[in-house]
Amino acid sequence: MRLLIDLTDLERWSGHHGGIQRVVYGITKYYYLNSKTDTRIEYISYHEGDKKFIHTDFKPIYDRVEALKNPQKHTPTERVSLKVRARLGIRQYVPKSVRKNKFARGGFKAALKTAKKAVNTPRKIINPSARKNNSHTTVHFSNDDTLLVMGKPWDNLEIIQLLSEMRGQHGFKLVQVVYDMIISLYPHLHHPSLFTRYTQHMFNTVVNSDLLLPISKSSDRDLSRFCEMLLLTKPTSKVIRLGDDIVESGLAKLEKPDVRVEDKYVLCVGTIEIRKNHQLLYSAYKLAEARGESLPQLVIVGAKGWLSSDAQYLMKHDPGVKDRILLFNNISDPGLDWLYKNCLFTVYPSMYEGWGLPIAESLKYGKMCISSNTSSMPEIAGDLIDYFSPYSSQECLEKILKYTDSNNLEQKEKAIKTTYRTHTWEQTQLQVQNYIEANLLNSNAKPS
Amino acid sequence: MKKRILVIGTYPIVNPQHGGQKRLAAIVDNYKENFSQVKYCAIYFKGFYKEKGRNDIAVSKQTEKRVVETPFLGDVVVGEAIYNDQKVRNKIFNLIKSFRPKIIHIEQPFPYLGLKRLIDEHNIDCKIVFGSQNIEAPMKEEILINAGYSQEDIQGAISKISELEKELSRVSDLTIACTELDLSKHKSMGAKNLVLAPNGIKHLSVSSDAVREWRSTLDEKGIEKIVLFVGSAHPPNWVGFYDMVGKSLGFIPQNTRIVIAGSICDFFEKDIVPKKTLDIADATFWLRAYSAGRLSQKKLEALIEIADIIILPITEGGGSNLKTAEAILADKKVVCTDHAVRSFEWFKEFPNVWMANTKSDFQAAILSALGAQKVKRSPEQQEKAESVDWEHTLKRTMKAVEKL
Repeated sequence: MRLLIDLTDLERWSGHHGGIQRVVYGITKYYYLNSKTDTRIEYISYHEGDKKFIHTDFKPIYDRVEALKNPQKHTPTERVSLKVRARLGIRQYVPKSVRKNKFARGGFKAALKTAKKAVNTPRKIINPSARKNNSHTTVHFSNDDTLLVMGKPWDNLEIIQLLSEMRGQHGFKLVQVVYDMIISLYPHLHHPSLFTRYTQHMFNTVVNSDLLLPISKSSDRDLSRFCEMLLLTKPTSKVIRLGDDIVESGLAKLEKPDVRVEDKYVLCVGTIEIRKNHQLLYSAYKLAEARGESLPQLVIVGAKGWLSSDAQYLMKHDPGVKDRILLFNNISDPGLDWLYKNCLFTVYPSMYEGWGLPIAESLKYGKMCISSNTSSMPEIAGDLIDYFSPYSSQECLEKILKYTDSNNLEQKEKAIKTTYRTHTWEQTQLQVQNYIEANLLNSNAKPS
Repeated sequence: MKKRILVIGTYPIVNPQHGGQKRLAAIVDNYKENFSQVKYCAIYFKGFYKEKGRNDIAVSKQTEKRVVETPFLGDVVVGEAIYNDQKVRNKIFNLIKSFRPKIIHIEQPFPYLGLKRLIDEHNIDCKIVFGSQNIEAPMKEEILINAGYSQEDIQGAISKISELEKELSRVSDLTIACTELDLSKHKSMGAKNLVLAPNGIKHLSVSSDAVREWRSTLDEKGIEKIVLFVGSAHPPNWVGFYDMVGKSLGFIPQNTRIVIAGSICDFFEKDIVPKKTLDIADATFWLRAYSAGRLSQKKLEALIEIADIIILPITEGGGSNLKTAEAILADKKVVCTDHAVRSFEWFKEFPNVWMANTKSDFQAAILSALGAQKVKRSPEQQEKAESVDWEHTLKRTMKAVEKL
């Protein structure tokens, strides 16, 4: 038996890992370090140019990521997005004469636009380690193989197409992690540009997989609904729990990221986009203002996302709340570390989630979280934390007020500290391994 | 036989695509084989038909505008144009004057809207044959409701069509009905001389080149099995497809496609655009469906030849279905509704036929049919199946016309 782990995402990703890269890395790392099974582990990635899967190595990725995590070897720097870096990189090659001549600038702008487009195209991010490897070895699949895909193959529909063909020919088992079905089932909560690609990808994923690993019961339910709606036969699915053993910045002395942050504040972490429902927090604060209630400062940390401008505008310019709400769109890891460690509690008003990592992160810091009561969010900590409807600013306000009372907060924090156990990536990897072994290793039947 | 017959319809019959065109083309061909002088004249809208016959008359720009402004009522507008549209009126009158037909065959009731006034005004003395394809009024009503017409507009249009059908049934010297049910309805409208002419089909003459071409096209797309749906851009066709098959096609196996052929492809390609939707069924429809587009007879026959199953998801509309006759003659596995086998009820008892009248049954029947081995027909069944060709189905009609 051979287990092939797809590293396409990790290979092409440079800089800090996003949520999905963290999952791929977290699980692969423990396959790499711990695998004691009889299974032979090999790493593969999709080669866009040759349109095939090639063998690759996890070690260079592991070395690079671990070096980044180790502050002694690597000094944390302000996060600069690839887009920005590319823009700055391109700009430095523009001759001064071009920059000052408006006609020449026009032509150059067009070229710049093309370059930007290339930068924005998914999966075009070339990682230096990937570039170095010119001797690609094609993967020859057999019906004794199991392929584990944890990344974002929906960025390129050719991948699932190829997997489908290869699986038909060679009969290997395909296991895929399912993050969420929000794009397909709740399209009003996501930018429409990915809808068709993602939905088609999920259709093919369901058809071609032998085992699916949704990251929450809620995502599993949504997966069932998706299959029912499209009349697809749902393959076996087993819910896995993601690791939340996040690595703190490790700096001995953390500093407050901004002088405007007060001593008592409530923290909200997550991309500022319509689904995350920051507007509800604004409404709760307005409600408090109308009722004459005094609330702790609200500190919101998150990159600007889809349809967030209106909420941000209200929070920044409403004289009634603008001094009570602080917004940070780009904050360093040590800064976030500080904010988690020093907040009163966290709040997470998201309308819908596949999992809800900021809740788990909050608990990891021993901080109480009040969160929405929908989708996967109650699965993370059950009764340890408290909930409100993401559609009721009244309920949200009541819960904020409840935990500004130190007695209520202390009680919860105590329970969190004594009861909440971080789920490690090692545990997640073990879950994946067990599910694969239990569900697939004894069957070698070629798919119909 | 020495009879001059002028056939008048509302569409050209050159390279016929939809069922109505095919039926009318077969009638004209049979007239030509049986009678000495036969002319066909279509009063038509150029926007719908690109190819025209020798005597066909396109309506004027002014009429064209009215056709465009009243979707699904184009046949009524074109029928009225025979008298109201000066250009059409002059041309058709000249044709009648020069040809001096003994019989005018009016295909579907619509041309009679204008023709009636022309006949009365000029005392044109001839026998009238009414070629009915459906009972039009109730079918049109459903179409107009689906198209979102106001109740008042629907009532106005339907009462006009209903009166027209009754009057033409009454005044015709012969009414040709498509099904037993239609025949009894025309009788109740006052038709005195009736003949039944179920829809038929031309024998398939499959081109091996066209078959090879299809095989290679479909192989490239990884399509191993074909569930064929052939239809014209006629609302009951897509209504039936959505009612019986639906847009969620996850039940279709990976190597199989519902291959859609005919002018109905225009509708599906406009209605289901994955890039412009936030509906998961629309986004994934074309992963299990394939649009073959409008096809020449040669290409269509080759596609029928290589199809594994033919589906007839017909839930509304009158007349008998040409596609049913096509499927019977093709000797394929067939999944169909009761409505689809009107006039061919005997076909239900044939091997390789799955009857289903609800969406879930229809979908299950497609899967059963895909997995089933085809059973050979008995010689009697094969003989019966071959009786659906046009020559056979129109035999009584030709005799009835001869007697006029």
